[in-house]
Amino acid sequence: MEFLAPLGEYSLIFALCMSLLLSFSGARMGIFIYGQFSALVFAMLCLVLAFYFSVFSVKLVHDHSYSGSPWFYKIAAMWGNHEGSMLLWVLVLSICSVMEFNLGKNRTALVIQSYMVAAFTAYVLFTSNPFEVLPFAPGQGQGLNPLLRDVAMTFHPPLLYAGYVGLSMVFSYGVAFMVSKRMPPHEWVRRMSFWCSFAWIFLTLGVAAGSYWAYYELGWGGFWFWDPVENASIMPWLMATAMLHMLRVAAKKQGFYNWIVLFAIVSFSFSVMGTFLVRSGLLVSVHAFASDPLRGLALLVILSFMLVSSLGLFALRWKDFTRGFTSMKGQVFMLSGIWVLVIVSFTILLGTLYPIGLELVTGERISVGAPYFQRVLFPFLVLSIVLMSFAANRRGKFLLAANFLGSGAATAVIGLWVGGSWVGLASLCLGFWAGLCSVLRMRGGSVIIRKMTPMAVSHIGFATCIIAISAQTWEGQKQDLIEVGETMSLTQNSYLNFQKVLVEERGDYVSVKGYFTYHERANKVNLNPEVRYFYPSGVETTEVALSSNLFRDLYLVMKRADESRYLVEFRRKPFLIWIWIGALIMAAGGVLALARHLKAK
Amino acid sequence: MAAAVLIWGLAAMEGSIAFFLRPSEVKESYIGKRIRVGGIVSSFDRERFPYKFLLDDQATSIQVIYKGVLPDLFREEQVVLAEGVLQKDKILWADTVLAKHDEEYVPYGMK
Repeated sequence: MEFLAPLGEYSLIFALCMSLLLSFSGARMGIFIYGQFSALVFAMLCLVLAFYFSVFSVKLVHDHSYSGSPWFYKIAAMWGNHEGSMLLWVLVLSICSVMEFNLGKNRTALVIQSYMVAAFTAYVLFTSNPFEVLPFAPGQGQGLNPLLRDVAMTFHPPLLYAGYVGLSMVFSYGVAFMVSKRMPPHEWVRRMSFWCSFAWIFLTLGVAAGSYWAYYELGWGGFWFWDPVENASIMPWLMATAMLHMLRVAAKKQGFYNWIVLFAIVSFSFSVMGTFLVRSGLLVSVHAFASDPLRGLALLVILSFMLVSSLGLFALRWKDFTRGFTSMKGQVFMLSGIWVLVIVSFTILLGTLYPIGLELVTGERISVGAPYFQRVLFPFLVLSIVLMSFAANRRGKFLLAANFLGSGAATAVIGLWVGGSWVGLASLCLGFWAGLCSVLRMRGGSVIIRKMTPMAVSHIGFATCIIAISAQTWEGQKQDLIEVGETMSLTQNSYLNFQKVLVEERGDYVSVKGYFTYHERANKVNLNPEVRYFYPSGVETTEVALSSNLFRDLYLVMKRADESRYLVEFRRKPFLIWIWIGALIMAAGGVLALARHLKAK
Repeated sequence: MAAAVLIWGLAAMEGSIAFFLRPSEVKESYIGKRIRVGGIVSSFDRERFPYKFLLDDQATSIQVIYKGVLPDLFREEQVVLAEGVLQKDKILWADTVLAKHDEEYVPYGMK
């Protein structure tokens, strides 16, 4: 199986040549696109097989895999590292090319896309070759980091990458529009909408999967931490969302094309910058991926070249495709909402890059914590919900007011019944309002339920997310030291009972499992958090006990504190799962939009 | 407008910034401020609560006290980050302790 490494490397070189030659291909573009695509698929296949058959002479396989692990961890190991994930990145770039070749066949966009395939293939080959061979063949690999041994790891990176890279096609189209003067703008807007929806669906799912993974595997007890790596994934999402709305305005008003081009450049740059920040090690992140200055530098070169050339072109050409003054009539709320989204993404960028700037200037190293993001974003979130509700009900002032009163009343009832903070109640009220405004509309003199258009569905998903996130201000949390047999009281009508621990030897670790029962009124739930001691290494991992239903999530971790006592942390998170259900609904709206595009073709 | 957003953002940063220091950079002047110290764990006894441990760099070490659930992969000789407000005598009462979850995972004995 040692032949897999050189085979993979040669096919990468072949893919590089194909993508470089594509611009001279004339009528035979398909040969080059499929040539490049199949070479990359082949390279990926070589890597998959190398992992599957545990070919430890390949450095990457040796560093990240272990012959005894189940097949899906071997696959997860493939992109749980820099080299493999960059190969995946290039492959997705090329998949976008193939899709475009079959659906839209825009020559200019395809040529630009192939330059990007070339740049990133070269990046993989010269700075992060996944097929690097060790001078000797070790008998066993080092295995995947226990924290990455998780089923979510098999699908979270590909989802997010499909989103990141899906934006590449938006970028290519944006630049193509500036380069070729023959493209009819309405057709261009349609193609842009298709690619933007495509990327947006995957970004939504990828961000959601990442937050879900952090919640239940990393056991941090929350769903979002404002870590630079997370920020890197939310910024392109916000820009893509802004662009989706702008494309809608553009379709209606036959204008604003210059803004769309600019958004396209910025959003894909955010994707590349995210990768750059993560890989360069410039930012102090708890995710702390292996970093290498050379890799960071090479990505920075690609990013700056992209930005300089596309923005330069924009500066030269923007007058050609700006159609005088386009009236904003009827779109004021939408345009303001778009600007709120743009401002939000740039304030996140500020919080993410500020530490780097400060270090360059003063040499002081700082980290910007979650309070910054919460404080800065809350007013904008409120604003975006208000604008969204107004934009969706431009001709229904009565409904808008009625919905607001209804949500206010519902929130007041909840406030009187269970109490809660002002911030929580206010954002809950806004969430209800946004939800009602997305479901109902006026026709004639009466209120009816909306047709479930892509927009309505995505907005309902967003409102669901907001409501679920607001509900987290009612989170109950308690941490205590308890012994086996003791009971920890939580609220007036709930308590936690620690029954026993079971110690068991399992493969390469010792498991200490706690048996707890949670009692809430008449209900009883068993919770079994676990501590695992991996004995050769002394690594200790905690397995969180989770109990999830549509109404609440229970979260329990335990750790040995001293000879007899255990440190127990319990959280009850109301309606938590609706955050991810909301994200799924949003993505479903995107899928509907995509289906319409394909049907209209 | 960009300037307004910038000022607004920078103003909001006040108070949510933690200074990122190595143990040897922890000075008296940081007492009362929020700091995040990264270093190598030593003198750690997992059987005593509240947890006490030292964070070392090559030059010096600082004392950390922590009353929360320690992260996975926390053990001696591991690089961790502890964040909290620095108390007098340069003792850090951490409210957050994070272990780096590094993709370069090296099992024991293979280093």
